[in-house]
Amino acid sequence: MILEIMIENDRGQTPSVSELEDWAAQYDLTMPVLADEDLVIYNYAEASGSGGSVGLPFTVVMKEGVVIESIASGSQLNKVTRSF
Amino acid sequence: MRVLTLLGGGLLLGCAGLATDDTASSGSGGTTDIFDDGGDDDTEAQEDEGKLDDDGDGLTADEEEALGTDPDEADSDGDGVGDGEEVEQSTDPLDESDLPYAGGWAKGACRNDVKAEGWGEGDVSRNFTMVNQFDEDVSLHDFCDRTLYLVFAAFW
Repeated sequence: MILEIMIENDRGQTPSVSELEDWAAQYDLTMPVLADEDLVIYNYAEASGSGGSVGLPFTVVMKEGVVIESIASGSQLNKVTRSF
Repeated sequence: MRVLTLLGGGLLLGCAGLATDDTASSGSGGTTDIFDDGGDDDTEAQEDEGKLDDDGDGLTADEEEALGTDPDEADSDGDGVGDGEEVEQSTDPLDESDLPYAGGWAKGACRNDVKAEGWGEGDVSRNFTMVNQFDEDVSLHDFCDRTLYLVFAAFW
């Protein structure tokens, strides 16, 4: 299952519900599209040793039981593919 | 000739009597109900009632008793979602605040049993709650029963 998590809009603010709705409709997304108001992304980034900076897309793969399998910042696609 | 006729009529009457009687003679001299399966009729009736779904919510009376829901009320907690659907979606049919997601994503039965550890690789992830496109609060641990791929992105 994919969770699409939006950290900010084009004004640097937390996306509104209507913006999430528009985004989901524009790309015909059926998965949860969420607004990261508390910037949870930095929790994962810091734990992965990225020094507080993040590259987008930033991805986290979890096994059943929400066990974190991999954290990939930006184009670290090799980490993501290994998880599958 | 008349004697023979009377005897034949008597025999026929005797046979008619046997044909309308639904009991048969047992060897001991008593009668046996040939439709009796040997069970307790009251117990069997109760068992049958337990299999009924009088309120049409998809749960039998026995299942409702086990859950504590009302077998005569399709939506025991009055949250607009029937008891059977709540069970299917793994939400609590007795908690009006626990609703299935509008997007149809089922909640994992394990969601209240997750022991969070941290945010790093190998950890059981801490929980977080974010609002979704349907204006619902979504918790990560609700999806504890499946592989997850979180993609953080931005609108630019």
